[in-house]
Amino acid sequence: MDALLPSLLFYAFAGVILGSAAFTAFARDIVHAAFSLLFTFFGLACLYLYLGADFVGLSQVVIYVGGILVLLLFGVMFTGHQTQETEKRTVNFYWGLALIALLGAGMVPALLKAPWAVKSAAELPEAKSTISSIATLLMTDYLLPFEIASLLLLMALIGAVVIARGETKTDEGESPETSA
Amino acid sequence: MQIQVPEISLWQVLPELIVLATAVGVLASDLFVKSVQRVNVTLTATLGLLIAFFTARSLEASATPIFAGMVVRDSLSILLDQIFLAGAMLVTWIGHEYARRNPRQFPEFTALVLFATIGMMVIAMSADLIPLFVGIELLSLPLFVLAGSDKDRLASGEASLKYFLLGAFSTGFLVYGIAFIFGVTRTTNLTVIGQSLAAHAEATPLLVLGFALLLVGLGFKISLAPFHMWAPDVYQGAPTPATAWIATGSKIAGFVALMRVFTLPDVSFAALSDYWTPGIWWLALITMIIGNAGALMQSDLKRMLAYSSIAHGGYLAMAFTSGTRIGAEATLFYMAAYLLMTVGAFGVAIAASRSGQECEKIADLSGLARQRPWLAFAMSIFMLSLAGMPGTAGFVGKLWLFGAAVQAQYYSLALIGVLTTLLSFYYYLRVIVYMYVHEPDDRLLFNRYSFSNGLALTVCAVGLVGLGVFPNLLWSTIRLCTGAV
Amino acid sequence: MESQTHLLTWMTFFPLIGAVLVLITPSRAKTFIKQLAFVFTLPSLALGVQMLRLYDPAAGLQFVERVSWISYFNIEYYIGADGLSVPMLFLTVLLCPICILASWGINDRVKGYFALFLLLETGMLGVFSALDFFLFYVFWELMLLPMYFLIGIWGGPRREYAAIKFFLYTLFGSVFLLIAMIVIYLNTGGSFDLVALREQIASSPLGSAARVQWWLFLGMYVAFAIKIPAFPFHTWLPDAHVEAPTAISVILAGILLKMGTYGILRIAYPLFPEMAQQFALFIAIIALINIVYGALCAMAQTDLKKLVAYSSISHMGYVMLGMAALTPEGMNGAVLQMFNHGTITAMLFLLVGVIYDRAHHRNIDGFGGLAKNLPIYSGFTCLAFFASLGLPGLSGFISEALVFLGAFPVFMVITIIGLSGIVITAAYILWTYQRVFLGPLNEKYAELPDCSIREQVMLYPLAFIVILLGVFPHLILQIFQPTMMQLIEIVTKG
Repeated sequence: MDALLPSLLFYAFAGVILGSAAFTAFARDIVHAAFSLLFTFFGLACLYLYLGADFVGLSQVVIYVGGILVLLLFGVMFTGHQTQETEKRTVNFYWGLALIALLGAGMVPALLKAPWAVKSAAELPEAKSTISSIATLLMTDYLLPFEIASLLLLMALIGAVVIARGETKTDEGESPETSA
Repeated sequence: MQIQVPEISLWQVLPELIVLATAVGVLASDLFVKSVQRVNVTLTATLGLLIAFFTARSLEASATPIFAGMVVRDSLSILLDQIFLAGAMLVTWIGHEYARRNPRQFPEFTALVLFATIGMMVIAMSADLIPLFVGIELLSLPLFVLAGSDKDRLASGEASLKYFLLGAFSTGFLVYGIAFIFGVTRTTNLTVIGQSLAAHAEATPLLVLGFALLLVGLGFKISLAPFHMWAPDVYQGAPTPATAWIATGSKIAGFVALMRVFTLPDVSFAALSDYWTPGIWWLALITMIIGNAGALMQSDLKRMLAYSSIAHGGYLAMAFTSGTRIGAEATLFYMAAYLLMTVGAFGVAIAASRSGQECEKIADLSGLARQRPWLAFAMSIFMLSLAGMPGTAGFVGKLWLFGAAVQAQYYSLALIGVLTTLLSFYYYLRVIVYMYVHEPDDRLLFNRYSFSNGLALTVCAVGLVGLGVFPNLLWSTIRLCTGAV
Repeated sequence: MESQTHLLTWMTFFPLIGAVLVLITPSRAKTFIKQLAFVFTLPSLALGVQMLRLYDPAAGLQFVERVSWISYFNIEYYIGADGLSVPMLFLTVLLCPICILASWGINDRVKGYFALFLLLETGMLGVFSALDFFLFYVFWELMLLPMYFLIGIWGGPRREYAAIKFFLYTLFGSVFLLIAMIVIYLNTGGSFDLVALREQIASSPLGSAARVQWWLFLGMYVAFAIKIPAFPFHTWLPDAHVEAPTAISVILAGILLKMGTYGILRIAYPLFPEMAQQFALFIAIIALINIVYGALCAMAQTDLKKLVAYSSISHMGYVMLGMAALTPEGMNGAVLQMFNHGTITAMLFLLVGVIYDRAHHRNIDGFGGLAKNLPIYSGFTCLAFFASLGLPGLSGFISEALVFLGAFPVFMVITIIGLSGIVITAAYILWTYQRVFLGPLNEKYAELPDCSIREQVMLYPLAFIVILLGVFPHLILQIFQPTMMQLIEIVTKG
């Protein structure tokens, strides 16, 4: 009984994630797809929480569900989404299917047979919340990657501006023929 | 709770910080100065890169990882920093010329190049999969934007989108691979991974899967066939200076990542080389064939160079497969040579413009030798070096690449490499034939090109011939690197 | 014996200095560029004469210079000359000034032409003097490039095709050379030293691996056979010759073809003596095909230049036959034939160029009776033709006779069939001479001027050498005889 309930929970979450993700991929209406994505993100958050990763799980809800998905829907609506169904693409459908089947045949046994380096219950930390240990790690061991990641965000901002900016800046350079 | 703060050795990452400061300075100049002169931006970037270059030179190499084992300042990373900084400088210079015709995105253009450079430098010094991954992202993001920065051309937007989608896709593979490896070894630190693998060197299916996914992810970055599909379209569509940096910096950084992960002894997966070498062996083989065969059929200069760049990735992968010290040395030498000749070739494509129209078809170079003899001469050096003519760095580099493959007894691989090289002479020479033999089809004159572009081309050409005749100049430094690791 | 005077280095790189000077001269000064180029081939010629004077046949390798170049891979700048390279070096420095004179008519992109020509001279001299395998390969490839451009830019109507064909054929061959070089390097523990390699190979694992040796020898043979050009790799030659400007044809036939046989004698034979014996019959058969097939093709030509080109294929067959025989007469005859063919065929191509400059075509049947108005020209042609068909008293006779004498005891049947080549050669040469120079005068060409002073200056030295060596062949034989005897000893002992 003790083992059954957690497994049941896990499979329920996994089913929600996979089902909604498949719906996102195959939906013909982009709004439907976006809404379906909501369930995927939510299922993932549940899975994180189930695994005891409370900080990651909550971040998932706050950032993806609350932020990114809402932005996405705004974007869809503002750009005047047409209700007409998107064209169904079946280019190389069977090849793709075959490739996926092949990859799946390779991966599933590998994953099942793998000797996962799982920590035993005794090794797990006692702390109720993972927030403080994550914070400590980010400020100590992972300081440099953390800082570089901030650089990455800065980069993303600049990039978005460059891509999105209108053509307002006029030619201030000399005409091509005069300079040498 | 007592928190142990690891030593923060900022001095060791000073070159990166200088480049960052330069990039931010270049960006901020647009805010505070009313009308930014292109010259000043380029000069600032050049100055910053030069300071960073000499700072990197003066750093003392040490094999002990810093920042809690995240990065390592060994002589390899110092050498690569210099290569990347020099490359960034050359790209900035040819970008300066490009900006004359496309002034809108200018300060950002230079800044993006610099940000990408920081990403490459981070990859070069990674001793852990986490900074490696963040470095790859930091390198990719600016390049996605650079590829799409020419908004007047639809092709540029298409290139950017393609590059972005496939880049994101490959990142997925990369992270997946890292996750599997973490699942087996419980760590992302390359040294610890290496030790634990060496301790019980057997490849579980999961580990092999991890390798394979990592290889696929990086394979996209360095456009190894069959993950090369994006390259021709992106190279053709992106603004040419951006293409130059995608073709050189990004590709070299990808190989550096492969080196850091796969070959450096005691650090990583070298213990399991039996399992991953056949994979890279096949990739190298296919890449050499597809790259050269594809280049043979192109009439567009940038597409031709794209396929040629794929082919050169194959040659590098061939030496890399050998996993020997000479293989690593040959790879490093060829990286430097490849950087010079590819940036140079794209630089000529920018400079050889007519009435503001950049050279697109190979046929557009017709008659270049009569009107711009130095351009044609420099381009000839780049083409011959790419082909591997004695007297150029391309020859010396290729010789050692093939030598490494032969030494590792990959005879068939070396043979295919040599034969495809032979094939490549045809399409490289065709460029020279157009420049020297054909007359221009119309009376339009080639534009004059800027000082900075001329300087970049001169540096590339002189560097190639110099390294071709006196390879010892770079060789001694390279030996130091591989001796240390 | 180390040279203190750096004679060979100066000889090799003087033209390169000239090339740089030509490059920095303004392109308007066309005549000055030509004069400059001519002047810069003269020091090499002078040094070549000096080399002939100083060379001591008994002393083996001379004028040696040895400096480390790429130390990590044990690559050296190692040059020197023995009896085999001295005649070839002299031939090169002799023909180059003559070819510059023959190029006086070039008026398009003068600067590029003469700079490339001088670069080509440096490359050729480098090939003949290199004693380091890697250095040899570098010069070998380096020479390819100027040749490609000289044909491709200044050639005839189908120049692009001819140039790329020449380039790809030769490149194809050099790939095998490269592979052989790398394999040898890795098996001997990292040596490119051509002088020491023979013993190093014998004591390495390669020494006992006959199968690998067989493949390596075959690879080298293919590389060099393309240059000779030996059947079936000869098809680039007629195209290249017909399209190339006169002076370049001279260089091509006079010097470049010799590099093929030179390479076999310098590298393939001494490094793999056992294979040299195994391959002897094979090379002799190819030589026979070259002799007979080349001569028959020459007979069928209507283009004068193509005729000379095919006669070159035929004549290089003699060289190969002599080499294959591995007897003293055969080997010496082969090297002598290399030198003689260089001078004779150079004359022939120069003469074809002279008439082409005047009549603007080379159709053998389009002339007639030229001897009447062009006595000097006809005289030179007569001499060259007779030397080519091997008239006693002229240089060609000596070398052909030596080759057949040397080959007869070894390959009796092949030699006898090969002798028919002489008959066919005589036939097509006499027939051609008759059609062009004898018979009724073609009125179209009644006003043609005879050879100018410049053209005579080009032809006299060659004619002099052809007659001199016909009478006193030992003048040059004595130079390479000891070296060849040594080579025979190496090969037959192995």
